[in-house]
Amino acid sequence: MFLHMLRGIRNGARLVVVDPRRTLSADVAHTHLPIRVGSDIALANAVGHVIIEEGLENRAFVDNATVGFDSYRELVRRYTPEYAETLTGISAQEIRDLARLYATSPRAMLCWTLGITEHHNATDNVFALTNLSLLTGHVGRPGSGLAPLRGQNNVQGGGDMGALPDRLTGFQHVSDDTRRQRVEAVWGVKIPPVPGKHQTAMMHAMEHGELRSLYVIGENPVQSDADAHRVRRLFEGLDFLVVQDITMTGTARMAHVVLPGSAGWGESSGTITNSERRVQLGHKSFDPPGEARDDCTIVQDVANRMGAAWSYTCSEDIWNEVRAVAPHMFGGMSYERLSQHHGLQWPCPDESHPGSPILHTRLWEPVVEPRVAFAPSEYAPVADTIDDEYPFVLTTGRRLEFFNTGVQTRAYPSARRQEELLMIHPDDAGAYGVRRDELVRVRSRRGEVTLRAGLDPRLSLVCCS
Amino acid sequence: MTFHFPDQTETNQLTIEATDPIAGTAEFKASAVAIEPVRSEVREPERRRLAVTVGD
Repeated sequence: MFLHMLRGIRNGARLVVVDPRRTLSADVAHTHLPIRVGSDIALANAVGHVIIEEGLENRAFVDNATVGFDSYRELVRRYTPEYAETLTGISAQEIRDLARLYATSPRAMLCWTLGITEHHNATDNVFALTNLSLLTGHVGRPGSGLAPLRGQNNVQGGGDMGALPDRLTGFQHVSDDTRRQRVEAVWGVKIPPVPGKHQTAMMHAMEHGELRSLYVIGENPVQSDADAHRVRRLFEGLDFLVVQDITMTGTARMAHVVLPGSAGWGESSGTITNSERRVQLGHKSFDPPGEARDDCTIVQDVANRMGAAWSYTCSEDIWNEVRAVAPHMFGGMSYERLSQHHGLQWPCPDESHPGSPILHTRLWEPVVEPRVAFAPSEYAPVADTIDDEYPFVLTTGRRLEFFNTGVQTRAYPSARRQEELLMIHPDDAGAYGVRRDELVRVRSRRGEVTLRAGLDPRLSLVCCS
Repeated sequence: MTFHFPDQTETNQLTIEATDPIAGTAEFKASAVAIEPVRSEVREPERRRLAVTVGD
């Protein structure tokens, strides 16, 4: 994805990076705005404020395709660039420049990742950005739009397949009677019309003894979820834990039963959906080692032991069922066509359909029904209060050469340093007596760890990573 | 800090389980922390090595 952006820059596109750290992306940007952690809504609303104040909004688009402009205008009236400067640390002039650049560009995209979504007000953060695209009409046209950048190859595919508590395959809501009944007809079972629990709600249910058993597939929550002490206690309290994975993860080590699965690439066939909604077909090259088996086969065997009568012989059987339950999305995506076209973008409802490279094009039709609503969202400070006792904001991140909880990267020799480091600005380090490569204790209201320090002049002050 | 080396440094001991009411996402990106140098202490693995030396 970033290589596409680099090509765009070579072709004359301008890149603004908003990040508390001066990242590699910031190095190639025309402008880097080192924002204070958690103040993104203040910045977005101030950009909206300037756009409206200077009459740079796309009036025709706002009138034809949206509702709720007046309440949005009312909200952002208070977010002057000068006020936003006090919250974000970005100067009022830079905010004005950003607003003018975004609004007056013929095409513009907003791309984001976990800096926007890993917050207690993540949904409001995203709304603040979508409001800007509605205000300027930078949506539903080539070269414009909104793009959450994914951290794995198949994040989109998980949602596509219905791995969400309130959606069936193809994002069909469980409470939609017509859609649910269509899926019930194919599956031959009754589906509860009420949403299930997402991961956070499952933790709460474990806390209250409502959830006693867990079957975890390809996830390492004990080492990836926030407030690790609490998560470990909840998992220790389970009556029964099954983990299906390709290595002995921290979660697998706590399990009563471990089912060795197969790697997504090389050891199993099937589809993934990438960030641009392109469904891609991959083929198995070799068998998984030892007692490890294809995940589909494991799940089918477990289901059949519980009384189901599933008889899928290959991933294509499963995929064709997916097409039957969500024809509006995947109906036209046979294995043959996916192979022939090197992937197709949904929606692709029938076999003559070329796929859909751009979403939301309907917003540019003469009559837009339904229109899209602005979702005014207010700035809110971070949940964990910064005070004299806890004066730093720790913002966790990733390193390019390692992956998530290390399940897939720790077992191999690496030229890179295989050690966690606390990165801190040299000026902050000086003020607190911290020296490079020496041990520091990092303490929050929930726990503490001891590790070596690294100095990084590219970090903002009082922000450590 | 990352969460790439959880067996060595459990970063998520520090993070806060304050979650978005709709998405359920936790605020991994903002934890209030205190930082202090530990000059006199020896790290766990080194301490174990020292113990072995003494035992020998």
